[in-house]
Amino acid sequence: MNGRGNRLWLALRFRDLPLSALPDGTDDGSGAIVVVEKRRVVFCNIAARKAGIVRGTDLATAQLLSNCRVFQRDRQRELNTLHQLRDDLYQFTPHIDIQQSRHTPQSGLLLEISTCLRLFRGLQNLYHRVQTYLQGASLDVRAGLGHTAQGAWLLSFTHYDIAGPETCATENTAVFIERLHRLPVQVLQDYPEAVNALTQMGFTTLGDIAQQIQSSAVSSLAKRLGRDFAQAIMDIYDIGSDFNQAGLFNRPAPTYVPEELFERQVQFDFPVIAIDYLNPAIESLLQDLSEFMHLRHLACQHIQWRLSDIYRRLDCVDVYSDVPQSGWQLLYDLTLIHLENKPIPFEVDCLTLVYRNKLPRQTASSPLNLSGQHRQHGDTQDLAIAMAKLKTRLGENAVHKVSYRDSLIPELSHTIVALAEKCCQQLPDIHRHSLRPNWLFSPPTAIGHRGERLYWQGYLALMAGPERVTGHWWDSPVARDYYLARRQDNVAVWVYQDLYDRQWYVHGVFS
Amino acid sequence: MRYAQLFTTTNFTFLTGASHPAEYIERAHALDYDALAITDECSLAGVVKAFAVAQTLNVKLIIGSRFRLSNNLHLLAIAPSRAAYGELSGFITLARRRSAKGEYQAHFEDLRFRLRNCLIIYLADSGQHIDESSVDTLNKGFKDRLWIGLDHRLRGGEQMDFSRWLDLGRRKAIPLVACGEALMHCRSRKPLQDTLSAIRHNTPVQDMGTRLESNGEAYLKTPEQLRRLYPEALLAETCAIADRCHFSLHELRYQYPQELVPDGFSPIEYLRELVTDGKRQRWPGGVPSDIEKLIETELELVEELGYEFYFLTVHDIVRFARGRGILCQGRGSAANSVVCYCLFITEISPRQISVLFERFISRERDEPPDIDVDFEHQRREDVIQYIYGKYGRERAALAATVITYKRRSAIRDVGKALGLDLSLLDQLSKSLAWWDEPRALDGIIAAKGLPVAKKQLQLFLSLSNEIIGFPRHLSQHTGGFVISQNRISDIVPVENASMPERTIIQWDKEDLEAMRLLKVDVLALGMLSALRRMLEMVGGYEPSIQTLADIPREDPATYDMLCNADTVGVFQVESRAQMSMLPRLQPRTFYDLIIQIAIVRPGPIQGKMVHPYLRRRAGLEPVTYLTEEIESALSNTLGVPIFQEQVMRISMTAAGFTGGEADELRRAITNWGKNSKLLLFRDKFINGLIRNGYPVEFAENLFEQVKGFGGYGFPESHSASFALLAYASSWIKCHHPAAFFCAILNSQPMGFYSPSQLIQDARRHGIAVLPVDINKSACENILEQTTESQRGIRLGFCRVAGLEAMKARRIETARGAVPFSSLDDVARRTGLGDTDLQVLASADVLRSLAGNRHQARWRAAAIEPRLPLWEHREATRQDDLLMAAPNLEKDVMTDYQTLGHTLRAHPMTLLRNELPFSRCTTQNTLATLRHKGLVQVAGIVVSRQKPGTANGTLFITLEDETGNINVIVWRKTQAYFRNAILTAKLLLIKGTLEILTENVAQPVVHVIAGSIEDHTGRLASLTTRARNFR
Repeated sequence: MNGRGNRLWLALRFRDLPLSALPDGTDDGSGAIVVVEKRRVVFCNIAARKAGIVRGTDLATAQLLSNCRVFQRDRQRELNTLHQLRDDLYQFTPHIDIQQSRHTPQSGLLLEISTCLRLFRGLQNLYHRVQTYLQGASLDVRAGLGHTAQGAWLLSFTHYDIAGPETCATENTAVFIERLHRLPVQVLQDYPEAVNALTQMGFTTLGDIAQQIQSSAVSSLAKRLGRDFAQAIMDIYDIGSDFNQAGLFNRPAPTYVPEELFERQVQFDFPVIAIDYLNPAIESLLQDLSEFMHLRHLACQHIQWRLSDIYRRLDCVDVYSDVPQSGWQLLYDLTLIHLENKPIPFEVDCLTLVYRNKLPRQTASSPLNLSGQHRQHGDTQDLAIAMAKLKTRLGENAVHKVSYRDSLIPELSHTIVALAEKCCQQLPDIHRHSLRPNWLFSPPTAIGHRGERLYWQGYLALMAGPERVTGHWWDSPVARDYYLARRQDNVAVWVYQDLYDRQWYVHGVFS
Repeated sequence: MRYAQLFTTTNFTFLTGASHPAEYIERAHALDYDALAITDECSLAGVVKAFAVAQTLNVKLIIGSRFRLSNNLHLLAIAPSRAAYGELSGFITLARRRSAKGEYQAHFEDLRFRLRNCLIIYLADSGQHIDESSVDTLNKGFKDRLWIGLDHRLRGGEQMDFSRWLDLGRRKAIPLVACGEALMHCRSRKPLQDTLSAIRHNTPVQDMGTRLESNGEAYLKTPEQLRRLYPEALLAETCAIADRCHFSLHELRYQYPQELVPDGFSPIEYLRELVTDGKRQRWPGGVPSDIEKLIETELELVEELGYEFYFLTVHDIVRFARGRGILCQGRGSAANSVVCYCLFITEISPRQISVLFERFISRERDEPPDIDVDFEHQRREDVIQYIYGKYGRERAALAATVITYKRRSAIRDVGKALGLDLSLLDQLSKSLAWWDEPRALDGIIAAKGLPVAKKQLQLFLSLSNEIIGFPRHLSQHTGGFVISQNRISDIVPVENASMPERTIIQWDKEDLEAMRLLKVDVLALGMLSALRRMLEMVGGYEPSIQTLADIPREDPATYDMLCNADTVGVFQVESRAQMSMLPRLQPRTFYDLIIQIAIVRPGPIQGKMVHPYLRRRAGLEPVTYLTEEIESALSNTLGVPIFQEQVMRISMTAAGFTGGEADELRRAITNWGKNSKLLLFRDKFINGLIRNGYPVEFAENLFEQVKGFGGYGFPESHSASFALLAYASSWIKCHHPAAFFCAILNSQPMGFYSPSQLIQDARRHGIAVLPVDINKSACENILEQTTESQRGIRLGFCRVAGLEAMKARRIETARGAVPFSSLDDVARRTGLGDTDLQVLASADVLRSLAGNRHQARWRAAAIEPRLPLWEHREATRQDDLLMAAPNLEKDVMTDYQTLGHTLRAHPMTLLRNELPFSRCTTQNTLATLRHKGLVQVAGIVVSRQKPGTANGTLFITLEDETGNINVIVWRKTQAYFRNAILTAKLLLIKGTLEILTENVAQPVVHVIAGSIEDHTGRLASLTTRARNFR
């Protein structure tokens, strides 16, 4: 065994992370839910399990077994959640690492706690505080304790009293090794091929592997199952090649360095009751931010202002820019636009600027190009700034752009999309050989009759047509005969007769 | 108004046209068109189907094709004459042969120089830029055979385009013609046409946009509609073109290869020569006079109808196969021909059955004879390559098979095209049983309450049902060869099949029949491969048995075995239905076997002929005949008509039909339900009988009985051909069971039973089945002397799942006569890598060298790659495994995983002492229980069968450690336990016992299922799969 001071690892495995990482409201507590990846279930809630769904069930079978709601797994969200938890648990130990399985949706955190036991007055007390903290995070946690990080992780798959007398003892390594020996080989989920081979060779528990190593050294395992696997076994037990030598005495425990945040505040000497009084503080904080980013070659698309009063009431204002900024001026302008029409929520005592989502300056996204044509960089920059100001003033949902869409039905051949979305600028082929006005009425306007003639703000004479458009039978069927018509004042209009109700409509006006 | 439709795209332009060829013809007939041209894209695949209907309705059919040339010219080529048709077919062949399956490449230069008689319509696509230089080139190449075709279907810009084309036509002196494309025969097919386009683009219809047709105007229009779309002159021009077309598919005549006739002989003389040689061999003691007379009659008819080359071609193929030692045998109606018997194409002597040549060839029918020849399935490729080698790819090609939409493919493709969730489509596919009718989907969706919007669901259902039967693509026929004297592409286009080095014609079997083209069926039969192997094995230790002819006839022990239904693996009589019939019919002669094979068929079952025959055979019912004529026709089958020939014979002798008319009657019976021809024969048949003095009631009853045959009766000749193989395989099973099972195992896949079931049956017959062993096995399974008088089966490396055949042979070769001494030795001499060695270790093949499976896997995993420089290095240090050997249960499961069978305990033995299986009765004690008593059985599902004739009844066979249990599941029970029936590997069934003991050689036992439980979870790792049959 390792001769240096004993390490003690606490593994926290979050069983429902694939579900809990999804946006709030996903699990409303009703009915079966499954989270899938590549059409296989990676997580199922209790209702789904009761219906017979297990991890690995294919999606079709899961849906056959229950009327479950299906969500796609979001690995990035899971990782973000783990990062957040790591930041939060940093209060307990600086030696903290993320554990993510390559082949299964099992993830969690590994905390080396031997050095902070005294600070928290023993294992029991420390574990209790961690537990209390995690209960607040509403996560389904399974914990494991071991003398190695990977050992603790594997032991989280079985149940032992974390803070029991055995583990609280000073020399507890033997206890952990004994517990590891009893684990089935299937617990080595990151090595499915090795587990398969081990099973076919008659190995059933980790103890069998340990026994084999004691008899014929780790090299016999490495030869058959690969060096990675052999190394993994050595890491789990903290052993050398013959199971007795210490293998890890030089390896330092990983130390987590939290991400550097920009969070600065200005305390006012008097309660601020008008937005205008905030301006100097805003400018000063943004200049600090600019300097911070300049020194670190960073850019920013999002900042948050936090206003608080002496009663710790809080009001947040988020400011976004489509173009990553490293200077402070645009952010200042955007902030002022935001605050312009905003009544001050309370007597402000403190203003804080928070900048979290750091972007490296060189990988900033390209400037927004609305027209699809090449523009001078300056023009694009100006447009982007203008758009950012518009969005800030009118709101995210008030600014849109038009995108063409390939459809036979005229009113469906364009659509309005959000500013951030990609849009199609290429005219559909049908415009090349068919008449299509630039101005379409939405909805089409019904045409009346005067005498026997069509009348819409004047008599209409049909000039060319019909062009018959039928289709869209899968939704609301369309059947129309379109004509080019000329109004008595020489305006060219696009009219059609609906073949279902025989009614005439004006659908557009030609320029 | 006269009008000819010149541009028609049928559903043989796959995933484009939305109507069948016949629907177009029927609609054209209803609209009184002058003519209709079928112009599929670079294809003539649909023309024969159109031609058949056009003939009936007297519609003028024009043959053409549409091409998009490599220079983007879009045009139609129409064949006005036989010569033009040959050019067109050749041009399509050229374009198709230079591309992968389903694609084509057509170049303008080819078109210009090859189509010297075809009419060309340059298609004026809407909005197309007019390339005047291309038009000039076309004009130069085709002069008075060129038109500009205008397609007006109310698309945008057509009116403006028209003036441009009119101007061009005037300037270049090219006439314009109305040439509206029809993608469907009526407008209501538009949703289906859109769906087909979406399938073709692999995009949901919602996202297809302008790739869909802008409207549904591409259909066959009424004269009034046409007049509104085109000027009168353009419509008249269609008839000008149609009037220039005189070609009919009738004109296609082709000749069989003639090089087979040596100089100095006429075809019939040479055929006579071969027949004379053959009959001397068949009757060494002299040909009986009645046989001579039959031969002469046949030869006269063959000469009269000009079929000499056909006989000579088939004879040549058979001679090649026999020369190579490939077992082959003609089947079907050809066995009615003594000429075929003399040419050694068939093996049934006219003394064994009452041959009826009219069943094979008839003057009245005027249809080519059909000779189907079976070859050993594992060596049929040799025969196919012989045909290609002898006649070349220009003169020989396989017939096509049109792959059409079935339930599952319709669900998948239509569902995807409508943008339905893939998992939902998976659910629907899985919910369908293989026996469900095409329309069953409606009920399944309703029962599931699936989350599909109502309208979308209705569309999905209607489109799925509509698309069923639509052609999807062409594939190759199982063995139907068309061979011609000249280039085959003069008659029908040839294209590449997906299989390398295979070419197919664009017509399928029905098309060939309709066109009266001769086809040779080179079919594959697994039992012939097995029989050759059996003969080789038996001949190895019993010199008196070398060929099928050496097998003793009418052997009582063999018939005893058949009566006991001990027929697992025996040709034709191994199915559940046959095995339950054998103890009842109790065959004692070869002719009984012919009846046995023919009687378990839908025809006799639906015609209610089975029970009368069995009763008469058992002496429970008197055998009576109304007249001598009836007696002569039916005496072989105790007065009950069982064979097609008997129906023909009665109609000839008792109802006054000629031979040809009798065959027409048979064909009308076969096609009953498809057309009304049978009714035409009804009166003639009944009146004929009455005229000859038979009572009306008898005549009507007899007609109803023969009608019951439907298309599902066997000809006696066919049954007799199969009975030969059934008898031969039975005799070998009875007297040389080890060779029988060994050969059957080597000829897999074939038959009803899996290798595991065959091995179980072999062991029940006391044959020692020995495990695969690295130092004793060969690549294939072999016979091994186990005692002085006994031979067992040593299983071969071919049984090891995951081991390539090439590597299995390499082990056999590398070992030679010197056994391997160690695992290192195996690796060194065979060059196998550690993956293959571990496969062998898992299959327990290395036991003699490396110990139990665990040890072998441990050692195999340590074998290092062989490096030449280290050839003589010291063997790696042994590091022994400490793990214990696997227990019996684990070994059994691993056996199934790695070998597909086990020689250890049956899985049911392992479960037998556990609840609920301990309460189940085993197969070997079922017959001792009370008839109609309640019983509980359990076993592995080995087959599920739902024959069309069984009124929806499902037959399940379970296997336990003592034998096979036959379970019957009525339709209501199936509905209740549908999921368990469809998916379970291990079933526990509670039901009622049915034991038949009267008039049978041994009790026939069935369990009528009442409740069915799925216990598959108890066999989690068992990998056997049940076989499903219709």
